[in-house]
Amino acid sequence: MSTVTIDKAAPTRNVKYGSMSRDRTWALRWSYFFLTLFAVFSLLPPIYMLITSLKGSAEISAATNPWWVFHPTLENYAGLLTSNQFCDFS
Amino acid sequence: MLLVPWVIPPAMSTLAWLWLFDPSYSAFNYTLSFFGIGPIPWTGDADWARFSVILVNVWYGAPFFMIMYLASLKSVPEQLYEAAAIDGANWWQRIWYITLPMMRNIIAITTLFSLIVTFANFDIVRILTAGGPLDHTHIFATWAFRIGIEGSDIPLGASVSLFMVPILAIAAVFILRDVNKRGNEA
Repeated sequence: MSTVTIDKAAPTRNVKYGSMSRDRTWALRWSYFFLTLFAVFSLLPPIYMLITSLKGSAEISAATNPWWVFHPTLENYAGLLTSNQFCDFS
Repeated sequence: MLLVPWVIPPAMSTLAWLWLFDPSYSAFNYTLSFFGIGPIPWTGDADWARFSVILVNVWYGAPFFMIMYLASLKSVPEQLYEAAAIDGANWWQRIWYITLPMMRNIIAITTLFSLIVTFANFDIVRILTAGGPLDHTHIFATWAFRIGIEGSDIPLGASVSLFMVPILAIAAVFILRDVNKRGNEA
């Protein structure tokens, strides 16, 4: 019968093994964080266009919070739909 | 949702950016004022104007890069990452030794494409700064327009337009030769 001897003096690799699932969880969290940042960045101009389109001319030139519509109006869209020129284009 | 910048016509989206950068009604300056940051001359100062043009160009081009890189990332075999993890590779080593080498061709081709599109870009600079302040943000296309159409010197405008051809051709030759070489190695 053979015996196995373990050489305790042999150098051991001091490697910190991380769980792959834990790594992936963190990778997912970071990717969602950056995706959210990027989504805000990419949607900023279209949202601002939408906000602006719901404002009247007086509100545009007023020194108020530009990110908020205080007096929402659909007059710009209504004007488009009743404009002969726009209907010709579309 | 992230493809929105690509869906809106660049002329219209650049107008929205122009309105965001507006010196009098800038929504950015309004927001930054809450953090104690003074009004920034987004399109009035040469450095800030360049930054604004670059920002809008990145915003417009990002969806294309995203799609290309996503497709490239999906094509990297999962087994390579598993083998690397078994060998004890950390996150950075997996990126450096597996992901980037596998994406090199796509990165090279998208870089070439971006170089060409950015050189030939017209809408963003024309609408955002019109080449100003003091002609500091011109690119070949807008400068050619300024000289050829607005300055009525069409031959000079044509030569400005063609000036970028050899530069882009040399870049294209180097990049595509590198891509071809790697293709032959595989």
